[in-house]
Amino acid sequence: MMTHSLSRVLLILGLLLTLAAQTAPAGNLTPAEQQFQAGLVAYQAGDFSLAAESFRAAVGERPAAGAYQDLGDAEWQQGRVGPAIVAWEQALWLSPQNAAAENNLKYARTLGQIDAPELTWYEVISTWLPSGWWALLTAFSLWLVADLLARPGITRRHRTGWQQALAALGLTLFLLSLPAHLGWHTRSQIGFVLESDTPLRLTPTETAQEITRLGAGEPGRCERTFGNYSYLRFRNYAGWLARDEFELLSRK
Amino acid sequence: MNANAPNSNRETGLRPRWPAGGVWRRFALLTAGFLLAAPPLGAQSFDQMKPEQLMQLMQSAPRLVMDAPVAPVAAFDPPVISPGGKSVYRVSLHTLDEAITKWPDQMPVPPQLEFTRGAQGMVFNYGGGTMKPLTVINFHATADRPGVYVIPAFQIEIYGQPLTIPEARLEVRAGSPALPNARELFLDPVKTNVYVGESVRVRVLNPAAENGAVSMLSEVRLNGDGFIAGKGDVRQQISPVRLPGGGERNAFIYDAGVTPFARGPLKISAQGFTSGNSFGGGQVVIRGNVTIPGGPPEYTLLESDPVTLNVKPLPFDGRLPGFNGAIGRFTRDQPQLSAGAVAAGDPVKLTVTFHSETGVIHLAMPPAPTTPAWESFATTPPASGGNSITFTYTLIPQTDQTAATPEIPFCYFDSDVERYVNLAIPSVPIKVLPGAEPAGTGGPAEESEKKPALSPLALAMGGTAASLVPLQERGWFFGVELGPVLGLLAVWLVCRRRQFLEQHPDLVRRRRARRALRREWRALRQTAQSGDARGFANGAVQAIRLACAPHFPAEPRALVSRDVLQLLPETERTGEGGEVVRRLFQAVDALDYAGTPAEVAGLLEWQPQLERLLTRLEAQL
Repeated sequence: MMTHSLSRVLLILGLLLTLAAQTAPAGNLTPAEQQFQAGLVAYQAGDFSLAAESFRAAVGERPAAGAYQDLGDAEWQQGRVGPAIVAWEQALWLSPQNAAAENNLKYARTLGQIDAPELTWYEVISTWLPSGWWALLTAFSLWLVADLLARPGITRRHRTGWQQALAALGLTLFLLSLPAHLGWHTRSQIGFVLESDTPLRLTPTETAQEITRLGAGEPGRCERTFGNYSYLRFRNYAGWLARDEFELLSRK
Repeated sequence: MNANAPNSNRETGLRPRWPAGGVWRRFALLTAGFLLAAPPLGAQSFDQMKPEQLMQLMQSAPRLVMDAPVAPVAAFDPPVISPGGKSVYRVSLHTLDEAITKWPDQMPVPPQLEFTRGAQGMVFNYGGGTMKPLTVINFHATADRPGVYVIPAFQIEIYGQPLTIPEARLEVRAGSPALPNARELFLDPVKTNVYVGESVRVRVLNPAAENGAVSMLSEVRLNGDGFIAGKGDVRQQISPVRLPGGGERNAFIYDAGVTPFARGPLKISAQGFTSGNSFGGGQVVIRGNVTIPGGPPEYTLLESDPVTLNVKPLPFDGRLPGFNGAIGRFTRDQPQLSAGAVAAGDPVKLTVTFHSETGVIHLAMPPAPTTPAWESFATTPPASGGNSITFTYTLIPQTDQTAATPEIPFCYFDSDVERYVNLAIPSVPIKVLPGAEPAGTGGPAEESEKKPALSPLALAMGGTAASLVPLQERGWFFGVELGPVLGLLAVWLVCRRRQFLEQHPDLVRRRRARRALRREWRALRQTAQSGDARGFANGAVQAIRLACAPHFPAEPRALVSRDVLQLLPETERTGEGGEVVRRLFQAVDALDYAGTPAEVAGLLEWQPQLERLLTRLEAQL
């Protein structure tokens, strides 16, 4: 009796919170949306620098796939290949089904002869859904299984057939989502070179010997950091880059 | 070197024997002589000459004399000085400097003579269709006490053969006027505080003699470590200069650029051979009235005191994009394109000229960035002349979606104001036409389908997130995960409690009785305050029954005063508590069955005793 009352209270609270969340943005534009609209206006007026600035402010307020896509377009129009590729990748990071960002990346990489990051199988799986969805799916399936398995024992009731089937399904979902989490974790270490002709250093010092020069937008994986420098592994080289010379997908 | 000085001695007769491998050495020296003689024959380069011209040139080259007597000469210059004055002990040998295979570690110098090593140099003496090597070694000598100081004859080895250097004498004579010191060069840098990599002009001054005769300098060398002396931008002139010791005099000026590459104090000294009327090494500008001595060249090795340059490293702060080591002060012309319109994929040339405001320009070409829209190539070598240099870039547009060339970053360090100055080559507007279509392509519709292009702008912000950091890597996410854990724990605790209470129903009864007793007790007090004695009696009995019912257990209504009394201790039963119970139950019974309200009127006075009784009964629950 008491557990049923608790469930009812939680359900009502959830409904109220959902209702509040849906009615909140119905008023004026948020600061992020204002910046986004300003960016659109500047872009259409040909002021790509101002547009990029506005889109960057918008994603700073609230990261959004569409804003990242437009930020990439504005950076590209200014000839800043590295930041454009980073922005489009971040649009895909938030919304893996964003076809426009995917097309733009393909266009830029074809034109600039830039490699795309090489993804492992579990990283490919992680691209099927946005990051938050995988996390929620995992959490939901885990606690569903825990509830379905533990509650009949606690309440001294018999486990029904549908409960057992649902627990098996939840357990399957949970196990399948684990590689995706590994993929998200490793993908969050992928970064992109921002400027062309960036020196890849042998040691994490400003006066270090150069191993090679990197082009804008080249992907690399951050393996460790030391002070203001990070050790990145690229397709053919590995070395140190200053923090402001590349940007991670996850902006960690 | 003044060979006819009164205290100089000359010896002849040693003819050095060439060691093994001398054939190659002679060939190398002949080649050197050939190259030295080449410039007067004209500006024609060797690869443009015909074989017979080359043969003629080789035959006309002066013959290198290697088998002439070494003829060592040792002398003080000047031979007479005042106390504390400076003289140069100079040893001249008609041989190559590398031929000296042994020199005494300790020179036989009188103890009162201060004696230090100076410059060493070699020059080729031209004359009579031959050229003869002359090696000169300088020592600085000074003495405070008057007298005659003698450097006795001593032995050295030339190609392993002993050779005696003759005796030389220096007289230090007191009295006035002061005698002249040794001739010397002066080093005059434009500035002494410089940056690493900064080219600074250094003038080597050879002042005219007392009679006004100006002699040229040849084989000028700047000695020291940590710098590069430019050979290509040497300027020579004769003009009046203000000397460091005071006074203005005509001087031969050898003006060269020096570029330090190490930071810290940098000592530079100069040496050179006076060459009399021999003008070599390019153009010499002469200003004012100048006396130039005639006669055959007379080679004397002169040198200067060292000058210290303070070399500072370039600052890291404020460095702008495109810095490639340029230091000085530069201006730039507007960049020019070879065409105003070009098809995508076709080259166009971008030309830009830089000018130096601080002298001969030394500038590396700023690298052109390669962007998705433009490929760029540097056209080498740049055209350089004096203070200007012109760079030409070949740019190829990759798309017709661009309307301007890419900006080429460049900055230089202005050492006067000590900051980096941006001088980037700006974008130049250009019309880029669509390139030629490859064969076999379809119509415009098909082309637009195949040709990759940017997607249109997103007009909505789309899916948002609080952060780009994955949800599962944020700390609060794991905090939220504790919610279900706590929920399950709560369910477990509730179920356990319920099972416990099912096994112990008396606990439930007592708890319910306590709740009912308190409720009844509050009502009882309100009734007493209102003065309702009948209600008070009923309420009191009901409260006592509620407090006693769980002990039997029984329905509260079924209890009578005897049931209540047996729950009281023996002392209470006959004392105040028992009395209260009996009176209240009797009163209620009378009310219920006899209807005598007068008997209950005094019951309200029993409220304190009732309170104490109820407190005791509540404690037993």
